[in-house]
Amino acid sequence: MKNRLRVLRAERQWSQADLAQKLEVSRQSINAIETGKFDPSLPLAFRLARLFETTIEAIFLEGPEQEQAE
Amino acid sequence: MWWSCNRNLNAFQLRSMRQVSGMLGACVAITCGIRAVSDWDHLSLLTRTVVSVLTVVPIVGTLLIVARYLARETDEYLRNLVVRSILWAFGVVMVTDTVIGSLAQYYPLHLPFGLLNMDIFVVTGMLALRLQLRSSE
Repeated sequence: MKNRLRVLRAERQWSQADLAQKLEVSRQSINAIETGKFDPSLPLAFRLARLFETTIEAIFLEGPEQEQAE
Repeated sequence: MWWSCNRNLNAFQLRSMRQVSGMLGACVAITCGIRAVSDWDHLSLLTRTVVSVLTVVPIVGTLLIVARYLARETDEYLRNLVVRSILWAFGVVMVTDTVIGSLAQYYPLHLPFGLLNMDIFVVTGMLALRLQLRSSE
């Protein structure tokens, strides 16, 4: 699943380590989410949305899998 | 072994790694003990059985440590990696056991390869975890 995490993080000038610290996860988790290797759970997605003061849909974009299903 | 996995471990992860390493050490000690005891002819069947059952202790210990780690780990990505590493480790142990089991039908194998399952499991699991963590660097 694609996401705008890197963009949102860059807008706030946060490093991956900063974001990881705010979310209380490892820096590897942030990197894996940003590169699309790992899709976060719903609770973590909500925490991300709350932290960036936006919605989950604004962070995570529908990928080709969803488009094909529709 | 914990040093081979990741240098950025928190206290709980480090403690769990150390405990698994301790179990690996216990497994090696028990394996060596069994090798030494196997040469003694005067041991009773009961003693031999008790010594053989001892080999289960580090396996159960490792499973309990890993289960407790997975239950308490709050980072879902790391949890995911650990589960994947366990699957890799199980796979390697099964493949190794199957190949050695097949070879044993044709050639007399004098070494107790079955006793090394735990060692193979832990080493493969840690290696798999390290490689996966490296890909997320």
